[in-house]
Amino acid sequence: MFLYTVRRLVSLVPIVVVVMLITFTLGYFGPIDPVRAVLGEEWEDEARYAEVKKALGLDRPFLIQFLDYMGAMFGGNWGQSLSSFGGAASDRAVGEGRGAGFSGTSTGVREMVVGRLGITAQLSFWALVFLVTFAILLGVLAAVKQNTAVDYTIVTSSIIASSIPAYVIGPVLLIIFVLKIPVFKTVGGWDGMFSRQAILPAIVLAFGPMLVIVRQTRAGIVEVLGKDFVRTARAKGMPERLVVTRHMLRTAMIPVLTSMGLITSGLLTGSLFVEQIFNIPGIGKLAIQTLLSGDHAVFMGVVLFQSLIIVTVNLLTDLLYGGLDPRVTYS
Amino acid sequence: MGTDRGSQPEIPLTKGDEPDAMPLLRIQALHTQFETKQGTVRAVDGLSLDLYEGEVLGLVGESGCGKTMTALSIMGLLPGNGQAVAGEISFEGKNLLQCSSEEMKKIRGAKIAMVFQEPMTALTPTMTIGRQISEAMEIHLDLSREEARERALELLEHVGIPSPRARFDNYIHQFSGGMRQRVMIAIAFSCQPRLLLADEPTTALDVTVQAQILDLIKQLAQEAGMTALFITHDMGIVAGSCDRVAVMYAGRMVEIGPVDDVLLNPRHPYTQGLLGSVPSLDSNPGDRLFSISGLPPDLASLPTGCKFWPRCPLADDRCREEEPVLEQYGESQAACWKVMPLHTN
Repeated sequence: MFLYTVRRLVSLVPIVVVVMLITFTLGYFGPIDPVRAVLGEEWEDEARYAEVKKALGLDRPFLIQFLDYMGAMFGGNWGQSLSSFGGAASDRAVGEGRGAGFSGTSTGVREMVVGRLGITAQLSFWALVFLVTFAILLGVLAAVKQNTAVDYTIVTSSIIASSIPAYVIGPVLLIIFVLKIPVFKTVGGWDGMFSRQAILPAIVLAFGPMLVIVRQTRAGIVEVLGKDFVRTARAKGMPERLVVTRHMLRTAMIPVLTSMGLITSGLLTGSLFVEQIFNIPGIGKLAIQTLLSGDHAVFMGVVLFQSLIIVTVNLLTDLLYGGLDPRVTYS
Repeated sequence: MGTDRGSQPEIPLTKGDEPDAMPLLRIQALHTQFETKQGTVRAVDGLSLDLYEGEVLGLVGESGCGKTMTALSIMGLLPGNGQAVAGEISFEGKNLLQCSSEEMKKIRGAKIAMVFQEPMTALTPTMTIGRQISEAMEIHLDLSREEARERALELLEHVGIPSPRARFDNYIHQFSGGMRQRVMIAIAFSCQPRLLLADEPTTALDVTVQAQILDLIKQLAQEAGMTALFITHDMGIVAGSCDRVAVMYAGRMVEIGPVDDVLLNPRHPYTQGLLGSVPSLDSNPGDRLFSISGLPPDLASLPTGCKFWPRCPLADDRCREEEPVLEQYGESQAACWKVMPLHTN
C-alpha cells in the first residue's frame, strides 16, 4: 500500500503539468491584459506600457515564459500578485481578505492561495459534517422504512433541497435568519471555523449534494437488505441497529464514498456562489477575482492548488475503499 | 379424520419408541403464503410436524416444495411479503408465530440456530469472521468482547479451522467454501441452541468436503445433545444422518416415519419416485436413471384432490377429487389413497 501510494503520487506530476500548461495557455491568449490591469488609466502611455511589460516579463516568448514559470513553481516560488506592482488590480485582489486565517497584506501567490484555501477548507469541513451526519442518516432511515411515508418524505424533501440553487436558498436564509429573526449576524469576512457565522453557508453548501448522498445511501442499503448475509445476521438474533451498522452499512457505503470524494473535491475547490453570497474570502472568490482582473500569477496558483486538491482527494478516496471493503488490495 | 378442506389433520406424529414424550417443537397446520401478482402462493400448506428432543429429522423434497420456507417460518425470517397466515409453531411452550420481534430476537441464535445453504453469500464480506462468531455471544450469553473472543477462538478450533488465532481477523473471501461452512457452523453452535435448523448445509460444497461438514455437524449435535431439522434433497444424507424422515410435496407432508422404514418400505408414490431416482451401484451401466415425470405444481394454482396426481402413475378419479390425509401404516404415516397393501404390514 505504501508503494502504491508513492506510485500514485509520482503519477500526479504529469497531470498537474498538463493542467498548468492549459491554464497558462488560456491566460496568455486570453482577452485580459495584465499590463493594462496594472497601469489602469495610464496604459495608453506607450513607453510606460513597454516598461511594465518588461518588468512583468511578459515581453518574452510564450514557451520561455511557461518554462520559467514551471521552473520557479517546482522551486517553490509561485510568483507575486499583480497588486505588488501597485495599480488597480491590487485593491480588488488583496482588499477582500480579512479576519483570521488570512493575511491581507501579503502579495505572495502561495501565501494568498493558502490563506484563502484555509477558509474554504474550514467551510467545506462543516458542509461535509452536515452531509455525513444528516444525509447518510436520512438515507439509511429511508431504506429501512422503504416505500412508506417516511421514505417518501425523506426522498421528496431531499429532491427539493437539492433542486433549489444556492443563489436562491442563500439569500432566503439570509433574509430569514439575519434580517427577520437575527440569529446570525453575517457581515462578510471570516472569523474562524467555530464562529456562528460559518453555520449558514455550510448548510447551503451541504444542500446541493444532499440528494445524491441520500439516494445512494438508500439504494446501497436497499440492495443489501435482501442479501443472505443480512438474513444470517438476523438469524443470530442481532438487534436491528447492529444489523444495519455492522453488516450493511460498510457495503452500502462503497458507492457513497465515490460520490463523497467528488463532492469533497468540489467543496475544496471553492464555491463561487456561496462565497460570493455570504461574502467569504475563500478560494472560489479569489479565483473569480483574479481571473477577471488579469492577475494571472494568482489565478495560476489557484488552479494549481485546485488540481492538486482534486488529484489528492481522488487518491485518498481510492485508499479509503480498502478501509471499507477488505477485498480491495493495492498493488 | 377425513377432510376436504385441503389441510391435514392435526394428529400428533409420535416418535415410535417414546410415544408420550413432549415434542421440543410442534408445528400444527402451518400455512405460509406469499402474495404475488399471480395470486397467493401457498409455500407451506397445512404442515404439521413434531420434533422430539435429541432427534435428527430429515425434511426432504424437491426444490420449491416448502422445506426452506418451513424453516424460515420457524425462525420468523420469511423474505419479502411471505407470512405464516395460520397454524401454530410451539417451542418451549410459546407460539413462535405470536412472539413479538423482541422475543424472537432472544430465541434466534440463542435457542434456535440455523445453518444456511450458501456459505459463499451467507456471511458478511466486510466483517472479520471472528467478529461474526463472537458478536452473537456478546448479545445472548452476555459475554464481554474479550470473553466472546476467547470462546470464538475455541469454537474455530473445534470446527477444525487451523491456527484460529491467525484466522480470527480474516475475512470470508480468504476462506474456501468448506471453511466458510465451518465458520457458519461455529456461529450456529456458539450460543448452544436447543434446536438446529440446517438448510441444505452441504449442497453448495464439493463432494469431498460434504462428508466432512456432515460429520462435523453430526458430531457437534451429538456432543451437545441437540435436536436438529435437516433440510435436504439428498437421500444419502437422510440415510446416514437422520433418525426420522419427513417427505414434503407442494407445501404439505406426504410421508413421515423412521428412516429405515421409509427408505425400505416407501408408501407414497412420490417417496418411491425420489428413492428410485437415486443412482445405485447395482444398476447396469447404460441404464436410464429413473425420474419422476412432469414438474412440481404451480403453488399459486394447485390441483384439486391429491397434489401429486398429475405426476402419479397410479392416480384415479378419487385421487383427482379428494385429498388424502396422513394414515398410519406400521411405524410410518403416509397420505395416499393408493398405498400398497403389501407395505402396510
